[in-house]
Amino acid sequence: MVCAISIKPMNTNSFRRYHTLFGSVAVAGNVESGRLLWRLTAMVVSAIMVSALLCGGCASRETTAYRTLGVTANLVDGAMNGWGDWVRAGRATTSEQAAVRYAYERYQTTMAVAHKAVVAAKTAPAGTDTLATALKVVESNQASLVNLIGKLVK
Amino acid sequence: MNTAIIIAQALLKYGPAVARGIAELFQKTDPTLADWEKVFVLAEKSYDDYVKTPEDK
Repeated sequence: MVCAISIKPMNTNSFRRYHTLFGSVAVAGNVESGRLLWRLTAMVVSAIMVSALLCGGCASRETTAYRTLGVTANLVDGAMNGWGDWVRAGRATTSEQAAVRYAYERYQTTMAVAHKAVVAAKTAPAGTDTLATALKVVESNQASLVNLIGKLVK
Repeated sequence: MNTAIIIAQALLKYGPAVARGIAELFQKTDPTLADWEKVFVLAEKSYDDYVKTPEDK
């Protein structure tokens, strides 16, 4: 009696899709040609623009800012999880890692400024005036993040 | 493009955790400070946290 055991290779594509920035093996090759930051820029810009378009006419400024920053933070977190996988796989060059670290740390700085502004506004007794000022800080920092990453890819 | 498409794209590209996070954002109309804190905590992970190996964790 012959006992046939089917050995099926593990499907790594679904893992890749869930946990990497790049979506597929074919696209992953783009990193090696220096396109990583361009993709990151496109992602952040599109997140901010789409979120602004979606929310512009139907929600308060605070809700719009909350959704915009929230979508950005979630997508950056997802992208960075994928980047971590890429680095651990030994596929990222030293210069690519340095560029992504720099961009990410600037992003963190921007988010920290926005964080302080929002906390100040939400806890201050002055109310709406303080909140309006804080939201301007948030909006200007979103723009500076996009500009920063845009400069990095040039 | 509507919210559902954004969430579906996030699901396909980054998985259910990211998609769920984005969906929750669009369910809030008047975010509280606690809601804001959940957004900012995502940006507090360091670069090294993302790239460290399982042995480092």
